[in-house]
Amino acid sequence: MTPFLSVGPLTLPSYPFLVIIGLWAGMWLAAKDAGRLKVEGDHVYNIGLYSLVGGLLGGRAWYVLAHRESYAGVPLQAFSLTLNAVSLPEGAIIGLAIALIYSKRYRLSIPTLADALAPGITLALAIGGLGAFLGSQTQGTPTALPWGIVQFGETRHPAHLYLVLAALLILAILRAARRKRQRPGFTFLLFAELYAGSRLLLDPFFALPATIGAGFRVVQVAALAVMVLVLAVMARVEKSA
Amino acid sequence: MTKPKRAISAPGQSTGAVRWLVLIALVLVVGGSWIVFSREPQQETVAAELAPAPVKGHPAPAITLNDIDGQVVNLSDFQGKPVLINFWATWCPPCRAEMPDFQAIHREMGDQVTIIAVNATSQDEPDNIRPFMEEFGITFPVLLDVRGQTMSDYNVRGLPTTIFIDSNGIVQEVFTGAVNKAYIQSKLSGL
Repeated sequence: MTPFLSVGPLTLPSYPFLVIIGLWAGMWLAAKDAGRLKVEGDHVYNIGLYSLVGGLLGGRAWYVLAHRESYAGVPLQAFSLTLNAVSLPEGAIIGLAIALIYSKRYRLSIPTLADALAPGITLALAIGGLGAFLGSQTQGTPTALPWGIVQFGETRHPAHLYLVLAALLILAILRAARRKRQRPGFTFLLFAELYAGSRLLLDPFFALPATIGAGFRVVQVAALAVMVLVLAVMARVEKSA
Repeated sequence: MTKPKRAISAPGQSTGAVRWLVLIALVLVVGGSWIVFSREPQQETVAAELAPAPVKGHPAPAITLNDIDGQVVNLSDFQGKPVLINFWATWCPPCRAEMPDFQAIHREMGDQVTIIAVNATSQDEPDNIRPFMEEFGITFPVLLDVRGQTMSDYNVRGLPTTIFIDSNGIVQEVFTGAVNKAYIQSKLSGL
């Protein structure tokens, strides 16, 4: 769509630029919400920064270990700036572990912190999704609907835009839900349920998905598992209250 | 010492548990049905049916260009093994930085992988190409994109850009920026 954005005299690649803006905006919103929940906003920025840097370094270390034969003869290339040489799932797990260790060290309530982070994560997903749409990171399935966009010679669903709209809707629901007093952790669980629901619903609009078994989409199967798990946790929290 | 009595569930609690169980069952049935309804045909079938495009999962767009010696080279000549297409120019510093690694891969892997360097001749000085090749000892094919058509077909937005194509002719990765030997090898192991 618009792979490069002009910002004053600079021309920046849309996707990485909006991912960075999304991270910053997400942390800003989370810090604001943290203050409302009596958690110092600086903790949010610290967690965001440490998790991001730790996640990237951990993800790179994992990638190098997983491809150790490739790096054996050229070990210094493990320190190159090639951003694609990062194992994202493992990096995300390491980033999450860093956030948990930080919370424990500063005796922060994890459910309260998660509540503060949920709207910020949603905003970051919306802005990052817009970047993915503009940068044509992935493509939608073919459609004849009037709002279809032309990608690679065919009219297709603007699938990333659907996710952006879903994220904005989730953000509005989270904002509305906070008017009612809830148990610590509820906002985050609601976010997880709604976000997983949006992926389950909207993934069929993305072309060329990863599949398992008889052509089942991996994203949908994972989303359904998360939805069931979150509902089970919600039920348990309600029972223990 | 008397044992503490076990708490007896209040009627409201069991109603609540039933409500949650019904909700979980509903999500499983509706979500599961949607997954089954929207399942995909096999990946290979889909990829082969797609239009050629410089995007992961699509067949690679065709290339027909002259090499530095004036011989016509077609991308389709190399189908059956992984292909790396590297778009470059002599004036581009990251292109200079990565070129020795491409040559090292070509030297070490030989026929197991095809490396094609497409020079952005429409944006380059043709007289500088051969000295550049000699400086780096390049022995893999160097094609000249004189009109910029191949750059356009591959939607190249910056130099260098490297396209990883698997042995079925399907694009597996498009990378803008300098790559290195370890990264190329790690990607080739998956092609």
